Amino acid sequence: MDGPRILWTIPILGGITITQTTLTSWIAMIVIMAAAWFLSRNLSVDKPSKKQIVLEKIIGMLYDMVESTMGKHNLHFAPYIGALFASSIVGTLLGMTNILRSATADLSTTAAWALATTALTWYGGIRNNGFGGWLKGFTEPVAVMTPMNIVSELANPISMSFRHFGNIAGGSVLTTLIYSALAALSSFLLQWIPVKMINTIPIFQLGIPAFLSIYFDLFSGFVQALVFSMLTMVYVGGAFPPKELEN
Amino acid sequence: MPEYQSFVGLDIWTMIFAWGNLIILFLFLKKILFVPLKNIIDQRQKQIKDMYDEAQSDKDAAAAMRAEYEEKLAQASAQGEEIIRSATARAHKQEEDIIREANETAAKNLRRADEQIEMEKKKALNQIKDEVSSMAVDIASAVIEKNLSEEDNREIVDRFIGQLGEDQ
Repeated sequence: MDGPRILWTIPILGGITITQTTLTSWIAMIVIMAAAWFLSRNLSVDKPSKKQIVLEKIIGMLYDMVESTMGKHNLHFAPYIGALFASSIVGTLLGMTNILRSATADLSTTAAWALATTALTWYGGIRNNGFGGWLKGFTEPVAVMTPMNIVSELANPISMSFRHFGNIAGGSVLTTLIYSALAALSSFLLQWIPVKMINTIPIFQLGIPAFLSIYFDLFSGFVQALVFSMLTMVYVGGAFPPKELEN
Repeated sequence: MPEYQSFVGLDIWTMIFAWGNLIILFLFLKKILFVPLKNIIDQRQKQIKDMYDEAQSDKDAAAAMRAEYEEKLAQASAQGEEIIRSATARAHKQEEDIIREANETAAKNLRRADEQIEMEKKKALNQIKDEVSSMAVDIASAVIEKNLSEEDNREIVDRFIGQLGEDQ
């Protein structure tokens, strides 16, 4: 099992590497943009089309979720959460094509997103308490806790990125393993058939991996996108408290 | 020969592209999808609110008009009763006035008639008295054929007549 393949290297700034991950991430972005553009055409106030009703429902669910986890004052984060969720799920599902590699099966992608979340929480903390106040927050409730606080602060992005990456990459590893196992099973069971053409067909690879893919790609991809977005909402929401609680 | 990165590893350019794509997608979605949709929903909510407000104000206006009409109706019926009552009272008063006036007129007429009768009677009596006295003078002068003086005659006759009047 290899990592993402380097497709091109642009020879500037010490060599800009364009990997499979980056390609998938671009395609995911284009797919989401196209879908958003298509869905948001001809919006109507009094006569919404079926398309618009579905869109309003989805966006409404997103806003409800953002409101319940981050509060009403943080509703402007909804587009960011939506972009993150869509990038995650589309980036994962594009791996099912077997032509592209899942963007989220690369630690670089999930780490970048997790660090963005951390950067937002730090920004929120500094904005509310000032730089000194934010640093002082690490020594609370007692000064002895400082190393633990720093570790937990660093553990958040690490655990977030590895959780998402591990689930998706692990799923694809498992799928690959199952494919080869099923191929081995096919050749083992079919070796008694004396016709050379037939006994090399990996018959068990037909159908069975599809059901596994429903779990490892569809379900897991959805759950991980949801978990990642939820954690981002919780962390960022915690760093941007309501106005009356600010110092 | 394809070149692969390690299975678990960080590549700064991949991360930079991931950040860039996320930010581009965020801005794009915000501009193309979230803001227009939110505007639409806000407009719809405003329309619905306006419709509710309008319905409420119409309802209030209708209730106010109803109250006004009911009040006017009550006023009109009270006024009608008042008019009937005052007309009745006036009619009663007029009736009384007419009757009283008629009675007064009748009484006055009766009194005048009585006075006239009395006067006529007196006049007739005086006339009769004059006629009788002159007749008596004539008769007496014819009887005694002696002419008393006019004054004596009259005196005698007046006394006579007076006695006549007292006898009556």
